[in-house]
Amino acid sequence: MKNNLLLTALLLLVMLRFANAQLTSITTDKANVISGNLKEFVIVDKATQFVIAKEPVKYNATKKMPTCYFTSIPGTESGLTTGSDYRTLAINANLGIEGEHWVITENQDEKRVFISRKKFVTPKYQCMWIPKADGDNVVFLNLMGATNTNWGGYLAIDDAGKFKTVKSFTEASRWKLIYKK
Amino acid sequence: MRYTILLLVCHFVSIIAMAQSVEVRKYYLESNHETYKPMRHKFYFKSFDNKGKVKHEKTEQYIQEYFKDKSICNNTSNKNWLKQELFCSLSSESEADVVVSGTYSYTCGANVFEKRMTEKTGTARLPYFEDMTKNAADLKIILSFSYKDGTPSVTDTISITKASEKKSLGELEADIDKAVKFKIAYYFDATDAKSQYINLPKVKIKDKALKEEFASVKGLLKNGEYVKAGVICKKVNGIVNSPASSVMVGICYELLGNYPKANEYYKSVNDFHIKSRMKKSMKLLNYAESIGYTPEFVEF
Repeated sequence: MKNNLLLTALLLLVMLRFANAQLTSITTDKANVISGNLKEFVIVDKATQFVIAKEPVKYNATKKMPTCYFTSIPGTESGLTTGSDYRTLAINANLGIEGEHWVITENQDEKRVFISRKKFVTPKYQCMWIPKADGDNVVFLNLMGATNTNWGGYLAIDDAGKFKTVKSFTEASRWKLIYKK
Repeated sequence: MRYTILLLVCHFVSIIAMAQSVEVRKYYLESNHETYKPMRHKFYFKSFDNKGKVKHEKTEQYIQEYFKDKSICNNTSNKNWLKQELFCSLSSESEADVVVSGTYSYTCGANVFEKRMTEKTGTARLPYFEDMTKNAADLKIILSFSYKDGTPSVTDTISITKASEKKSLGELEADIDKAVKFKIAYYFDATDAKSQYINLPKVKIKDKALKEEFASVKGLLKNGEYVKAGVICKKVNGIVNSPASSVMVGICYELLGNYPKANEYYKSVNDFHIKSRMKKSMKLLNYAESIGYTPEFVEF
């Protein structure tokens, strides 16, 4: 019995040691957000090569790039009846400010997309995005856009580095997520 | 009758191993005969340069060892022709049939690349990329052979690449060091050269001292000290004079490549395995002689 337990423990240790580094999820859970143990990503637009940041910059593999992290927002916080039908997440810009979370928001009143303090975003769906895989890239659709033809769209960035949303999936930016350990 | 049964039950040298070894040698002689017609075996090693930015010590060491130091032509008669290099180096270019020169280049370093991954869980798992580091070491050696008789020169490339995401650069470099030795030595080692386990016939020896001396033969054969083993076996055979002891002498001669002599000592037994093996070995010897390679036989 003792030998079996020892063998099992050894096997688990070996498995852990050689375990695949593959992420279970791209999102950082609440506890890790608080402790600062973030899963950071450089998010690059395939077409313009702009990197998502408070002030987007052009991607340069040889330099340190601004990063973001994803957090899950339960659909119930959206305020929409169909909110919980989707996997939704917030795209947080990693500004390195403890306790402060800055998220990409499609602001309904100002009719523009920018990075703002999460605690001031109301209604919540403005910073909730539905991620969709498209080949090697990801497309983000604002939760509002999933249920409303007039408002909410796909996250995009123009040649000047300004965020926007577009209604057409074809026009949406294709974002490459580069995980930085 | 007793001895015949005994010998039939006992195995001598592993047939498979010896057969393989014979085939490797024959192939080597054949392939070289095809490449270099007629067979040329004296070469002059002209030069060897590093064309890369990094020096590879082991390559330079083995080129020196095999092409210059180890392979010097000499005329000693006591040389096992099976182990004798089919190429040997001279110190003067004028006497050589082949002039050899070479270059090499070596690179090693870490390459960073992006690996595509996907989330492990979820119904619509999202793709992402992760930076991975792959260590790589690459060695390329080019040897050029030009012939005095006007045959067009040939080049031979030794290319070794080792790459790994898990192994360190040091480990990959060690792998290259091992591989390059084998590749350079291959030019000179006509056989697989590994000594095989030998099952020897039981020789009945009454004299205690002689028995003890004979007990060392197995170890000597395993270590490749065939001449020393042969001397003891010959001594034992002189006293015991049995088919088994005669076979022991034959084995020692056979391992030294002195097949005609081995055959003389094998005459005392009518063993299928020995006959079959010696038939192949004699064929090899006849072939070598037919293409102008005259081996010198070792005696003890």
